[in-house]
Amino acid sequence: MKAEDFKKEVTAILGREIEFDGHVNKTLENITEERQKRILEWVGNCLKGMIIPEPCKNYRHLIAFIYKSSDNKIRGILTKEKNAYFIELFLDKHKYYDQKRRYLGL
Amino acid sequence: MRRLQYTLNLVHLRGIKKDIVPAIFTLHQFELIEKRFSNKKMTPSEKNEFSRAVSKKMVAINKILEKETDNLFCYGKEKILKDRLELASRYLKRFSRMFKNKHVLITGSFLFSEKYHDIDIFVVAKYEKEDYRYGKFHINYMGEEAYTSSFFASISGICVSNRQIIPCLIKKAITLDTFISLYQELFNDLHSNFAGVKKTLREFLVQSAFISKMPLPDSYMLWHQVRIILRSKSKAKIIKKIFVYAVILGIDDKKALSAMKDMVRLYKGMMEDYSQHKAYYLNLIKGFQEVIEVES
Repeated sequence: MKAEDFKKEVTAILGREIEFDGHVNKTLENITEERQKRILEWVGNCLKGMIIPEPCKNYRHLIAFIYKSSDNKIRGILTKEKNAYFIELFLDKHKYYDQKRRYLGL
Repeated sequence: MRRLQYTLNLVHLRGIKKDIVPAIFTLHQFELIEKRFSNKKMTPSEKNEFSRAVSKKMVAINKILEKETDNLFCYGKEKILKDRLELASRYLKRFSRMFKNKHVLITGSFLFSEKYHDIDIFVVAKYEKEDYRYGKFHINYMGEEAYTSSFFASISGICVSNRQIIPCLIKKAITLDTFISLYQELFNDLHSNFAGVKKTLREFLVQSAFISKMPLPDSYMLWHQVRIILRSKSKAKIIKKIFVYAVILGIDDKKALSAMKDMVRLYKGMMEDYSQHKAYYLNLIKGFQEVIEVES
């Protein structure tokens, strides 16, 4: 699946357009469709409330859901405004994920 | 500028400045070394002097050291299995040829455990690259800034290296904030049975030692502690105890108290919005509450 199609799928699952952060296109291009589907499934589970969110210390109106691929190479952070909408999906490598975590205060 | 045939630990070099200036280098030459290894811009005449006077001396010094040590430095020898030391020395020569003029170290359970998953090879390079498998070897790259990290201090406790390792002051920021984040992440990894939990746990144990101002565990100690904790039925309980112990011993009580109260407040809010995960949050905040109880 192309990165643009993946983003459309995310929009369809969450019911609204969100921002994307990190090297999302590059990350998606380098993984199999099966792994892309696993990320989409995780997005769906975040929406259903099945994934445990964490509070963001630096942005107290936000909460974040964390995704880690089984090989520990891809990380994702889906942020949501408390009691409101999902706002951003970050997808990237471990190094940038750590930076993003520090930024959000996770 | 031409690639150098050697690398230098600038922190160490500055520490021994009085021993080498003027015995080996003039003050001006020493300043050139500092400039070159901190990637500062050099004028053409400085570049010329560096390669003419400094670099030649450096290559000669390295040659003397190589001959004396055969480029093999062993750390934590008493914990390394004898047959593994011989094998590791052979592998080290092979990888030193493969990664010319780079600092290469072999570490991990291969050195001290009969059973091991793979052989960890670390290469210190200017830029970090993606790690990869090469047969039974796991090649990992580290940037030069890794020398001042708690991770490097830990892995170099037991290793076979092609360069001498001089202990450096740990500069990579480990704060109460990063430690709390790691505690949260580890808790989540344990809860979700994440395959990479070992890595998170190792980092947590190193950070907890650093925070509580205890000696950093080497890879043998870490391997042992990780095994014990992950085999235990009370993993989360042990993690909480380590967290509480580290914060109480290493963080100023007022600072710790305020941070823990803040975390409890944040998670109480989460419990209201995500009541389905209440049990998880309650278990997690027990660590924060225990610190509050002790420090109040």
